[in-house]
Amino acid sequence: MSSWILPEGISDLTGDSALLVENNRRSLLDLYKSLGYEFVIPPIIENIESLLLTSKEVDKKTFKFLDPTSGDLIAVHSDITPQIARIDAMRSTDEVEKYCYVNSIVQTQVDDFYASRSPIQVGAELYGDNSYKADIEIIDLMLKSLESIKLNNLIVNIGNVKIFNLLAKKVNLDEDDLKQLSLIFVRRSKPDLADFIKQSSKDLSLFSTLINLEGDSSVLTLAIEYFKDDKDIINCIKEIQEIGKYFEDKDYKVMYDLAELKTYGYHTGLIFSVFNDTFKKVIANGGRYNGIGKVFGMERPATGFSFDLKYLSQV
Amino acid sequence: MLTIALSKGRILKETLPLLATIGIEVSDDELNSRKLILDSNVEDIKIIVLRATDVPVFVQHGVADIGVSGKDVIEEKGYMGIYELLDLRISKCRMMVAAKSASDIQKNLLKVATKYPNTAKNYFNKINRQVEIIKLYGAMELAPVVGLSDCIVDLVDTGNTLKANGLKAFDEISSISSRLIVNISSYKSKNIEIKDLVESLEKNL
Repeated sequence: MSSWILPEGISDLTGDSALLVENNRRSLLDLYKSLGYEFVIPPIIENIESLLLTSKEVDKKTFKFLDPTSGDLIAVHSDITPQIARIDAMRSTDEVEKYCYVNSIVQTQVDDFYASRSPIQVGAELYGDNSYKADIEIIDLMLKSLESIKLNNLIVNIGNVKIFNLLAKKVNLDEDDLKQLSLIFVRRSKPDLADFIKQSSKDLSLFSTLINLEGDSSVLTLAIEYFKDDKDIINCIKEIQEIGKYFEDKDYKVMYDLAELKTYGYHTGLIFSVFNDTFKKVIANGGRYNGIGKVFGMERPATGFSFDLKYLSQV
Repeated sequence: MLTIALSKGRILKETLPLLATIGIEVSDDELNSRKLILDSNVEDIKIIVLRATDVPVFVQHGVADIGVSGKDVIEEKGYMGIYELLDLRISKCRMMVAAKSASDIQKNLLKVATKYPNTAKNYFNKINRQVEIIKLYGAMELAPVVGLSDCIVDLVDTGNTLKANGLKAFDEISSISSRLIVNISSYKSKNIEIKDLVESLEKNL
């Protein structure tokens, strides 16, 4: 093998590509600064516990090695969100804190097609505000970020993982069944769901309703009808409705997807993603991860988004 | 514009009549030509015909919006970037573990010959069996007969090929049929067109 061949999923950025990423980085940081987001540069390596939190997905994607200085296991950051949770927890504050970052990260495996193992992760996170207005602010910033790097015709997709979790709790699913059902929803495999429901001794019919609740705003009206007896689910749907309307009024195309789940285990409520018709995969995403700082002794409401600047600048 | 990827052979033969029921047809001239991208009678719908194993790859990368692929291939390739929306109930068969005798699959370190290494590995992991996978591209039934492996993991339709080679099917890993898969990004950006197509197909199954 030639010595200049890089490992799989790792690449250089040179010339115009490198300049484009740098120019985009600068305009994004200017945008975040103008809106009061504090720029942070977390370290490349950290103690393993603080980087992985409790997410198995983050764990799988993280390079780990033995620190010859301390003899402890340390890891290279594969996601910035756990580091922001640590930074926020260290401040021990009740105030609203807003962070932004643009960092190279390294992952053991790619997130999806067209992804590299060394993305440049851009993101913004808002801590200490549990209201849907904080989610609107974050989604708005996500869209402004994408527009600032010249991406248009954006489609906003909104869901809430709490709906699935509340239904699962209601039917008292055990851990194995919950895992299997989550996977079926991530794959959106309607045939597998039909088999799963048939084989279960529990009444899981509401899940076959849930898996079809995606599309334009009319699905929210349907969802309110289906779940009218469950106050918590209705609250989730109404919150989605408020947020969606805000962006519809701003002339964005908004899709609602109540069956959407995230593969990263730390999301607790509202989730969102952005698509457009020229890209063949999700271009940015995020959501609410309240209590993510628990491992650091600070459980605060938190919401944020991220995307891979390298990918979006290259395409 | 929607691009539908179909795989050559049995799936193509069984999918075309299904598409015809919802008004999407490909002329014999197109099918018999050497073209790889075929026009349908609907202006906005193109058909591409691929090897079975390539269909999920084209859909995952968004080169095709929709694909029809065997569940065996989807399981093997993984679900990254796709939704699996419909069981088309065609090209049905079973993914099985087969061997010469039951005692052959009781060994501690089982040698498994298969075209589906991920499926085989996942199955044996799930039942806590340690296995050594031997990836083959064809003539699977030969492997246990000549002593290359203890058993095979393969698709079984009638079971005649197993029988002819002195093998028996033991455990069923999963039942297989053709599934309609969709690229997630296409599903969001062409939601109405894709949903209409899926719903019409579902009604005609």
